[in-house]
Amino acid sequence: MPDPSSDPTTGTPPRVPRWVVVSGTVVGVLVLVFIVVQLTGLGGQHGPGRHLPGGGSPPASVTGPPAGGH
Amino acid sequence: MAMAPRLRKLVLTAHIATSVGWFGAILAYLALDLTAVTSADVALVRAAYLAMAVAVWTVILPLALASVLIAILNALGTTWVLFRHYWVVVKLVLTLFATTILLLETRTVRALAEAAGSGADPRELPGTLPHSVGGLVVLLTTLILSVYKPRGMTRHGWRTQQRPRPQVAPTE
Repeated sequence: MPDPSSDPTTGTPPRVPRWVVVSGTVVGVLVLVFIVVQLTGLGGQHGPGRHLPGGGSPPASVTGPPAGGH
Repeated sequence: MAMAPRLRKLVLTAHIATSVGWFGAILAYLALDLTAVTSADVALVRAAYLAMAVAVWTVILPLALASVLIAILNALGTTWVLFRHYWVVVKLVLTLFATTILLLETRTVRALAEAAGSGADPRELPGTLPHSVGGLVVLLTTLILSVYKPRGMTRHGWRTQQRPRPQVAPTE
């Protein structure tokens, strides 16, 4: 399938399409922001622990009462 | 590696089924995720977290892995191939990225389900909304790329196109 951005007569390779450049830039900026947030600790811990109160495993304060007890 | 037309259609059908199925499964997961973080009903929230884990392990993860493998097979068997056109390359990168994040996130989903099923108040758990919304956005992007197929040939594709085609001897 011929690419209109290339010139078959001179044999020049095609330019990178604008949509790829724009998308790549946006993604690059987002990745950079994510890295900065992670390195500065602004985003907090990133892993299973961040989704649990106390991190890593359910803390004693949110575990239910022992079976049979009330 | 050109495939016979019937095989190509079969592979394409499988590719569409797994990819769109993955997208639909994420939508269902998102509904559960939203329920888990917004509902005040303890039993409902607990059920949502447990259902999220079931959905990930039995539907989303198998579909994601199947989608990646079949997509590669599909690309290799057509004229699009894998690295000749930018839309294929970008779609491949996005799909691999989404699958990697999904694999990493399974630990979190399992931990949330265990915490919710432990008898604790599951309403204190934070859910996984950033990942489910992010996954949906990535899959929507790949869907759009598949339909619109924006123009743009890579250098590799252009070089392949420039190669002289093998001459076929005329038959008597």
